Amino acid sequence: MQKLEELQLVRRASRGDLTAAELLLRRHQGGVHAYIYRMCGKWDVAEDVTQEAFVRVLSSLKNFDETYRFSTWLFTIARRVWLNMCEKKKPASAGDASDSWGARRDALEDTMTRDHEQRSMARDAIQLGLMLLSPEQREAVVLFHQLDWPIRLIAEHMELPEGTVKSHLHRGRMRLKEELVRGVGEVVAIEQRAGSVPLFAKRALTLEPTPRTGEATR
Amino acid sequence: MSRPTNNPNLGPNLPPHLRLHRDEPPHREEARRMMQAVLDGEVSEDAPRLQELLRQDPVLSAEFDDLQKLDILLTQRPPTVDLTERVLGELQRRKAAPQRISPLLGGLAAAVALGSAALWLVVGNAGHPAGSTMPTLAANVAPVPVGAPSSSPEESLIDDARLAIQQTTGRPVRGVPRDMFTRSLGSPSDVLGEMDQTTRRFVAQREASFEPPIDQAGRAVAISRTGMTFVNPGPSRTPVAKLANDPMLGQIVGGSDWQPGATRRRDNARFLVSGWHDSDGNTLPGATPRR
Repeated sequence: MQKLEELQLVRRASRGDLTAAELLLRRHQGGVHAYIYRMCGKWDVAEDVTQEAFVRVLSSLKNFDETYRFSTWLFTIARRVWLNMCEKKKPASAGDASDSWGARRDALEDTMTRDHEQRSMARDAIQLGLMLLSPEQREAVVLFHQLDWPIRLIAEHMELPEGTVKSHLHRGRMRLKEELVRGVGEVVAIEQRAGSVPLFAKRALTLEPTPRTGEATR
Repeated sequence: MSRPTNNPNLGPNLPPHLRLHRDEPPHREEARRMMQAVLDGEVSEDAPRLQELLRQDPVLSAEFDDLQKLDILLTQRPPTVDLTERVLGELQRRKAAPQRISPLLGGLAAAVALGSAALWLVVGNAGHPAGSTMPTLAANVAPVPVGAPSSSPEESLIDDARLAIQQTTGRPVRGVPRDMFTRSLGSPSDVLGEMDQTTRRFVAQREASFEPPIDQAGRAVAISRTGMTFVNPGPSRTPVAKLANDPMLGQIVGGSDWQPGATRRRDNARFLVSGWHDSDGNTLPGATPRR
């Protein structure tokens, strides 16, 4: 969506046009949700944060400074909502990584509902690996690779110099690759003892992307 | 060269190119910098020097291959969600709910209007979202103690005061001449303290529709002062002399500098009424209705 088109939607939505609000919502909810989910590893938390961020943004559009991009503002608020939630609840999602890959996978699965798709996400190797990065590394990696943000914008969002963002990004990539290697080894051994190897592990062994939609993992 | 490991879960289960490495030749550092630059989109993967290094070193080549695969893997997003109905429903629900008044405006003005409470306002760093044009502290506070009540911020402040009084006391609020409870600023005590006891009682009684007189109801108290405490409003800010010396602002905690409007973030604050003193000197939580 071009900036001008988005601005027109914002103006319409701020005048109470629900269709425009809905368009903004549909355009950005996936990105915000993916960002928060990748940061915290909890599906329900990501949904709650996304909802709250949109409610706050859409109900205060009159305060929006048009010199900025709507998405920048939205993601800033989403980040703040999530950080506030972390402060209040001190969840395990804030980066207290267990060093055991298997334990982390189990912890992640415990936080999920019984929905099959969500369980399969818990076995998402990338998510497991991301949770082992520092929050700064994770955020830099997620924004750059998942959301395709330029480093300049990430630096602004994270309130860090560009060089520091690059450093987090580079270390995050390398560590993620290493953690995938280490973690997949652990999980494979555990699952082999249990008589099964998760599909994500098989894929990660060859670093092969998994399909987007949920599917059976065993 | 494979990293030695004692972990039986590693090694045998992994393809050789996925194993970790150490004791590396010096050219790998240079190559890794270039790989990262490629992944950052700053350098083409066809850069001759990188190609040369990759050709010379199969371990590096496998590592670069892994990083590129990781790059693809990382573009994979979780399944999309549709929160449209939830968000729009919540928006409608909040619109229909009664709006809360600003604790700053309401609380501060209520103290002025009632003339009956020692009021503490705690400034928290509520965060100021990028792009927001929320009013600054100065815009909120300045109209209260200074001059005639003619500015529109002051009008709304006084309206807020009525709402605050109603909310705090649980009593309906009637109109009262605004000059009854506005004072020019001279000293901290002038903010509230120069109303004499009769005026104070009268204003409070009128404003809060109290009957019988407040003293008999045990609600009126002597005014001490109105103070605000700044709590961690943000790092690396320069104190603003005008605000720092403003007695209306009360105490400014050391090291917590604050400058309104200097940046587009964190220069606004949330104000919470943290407590009141009743006529017996008891401290009541700010949220406690003073019935």
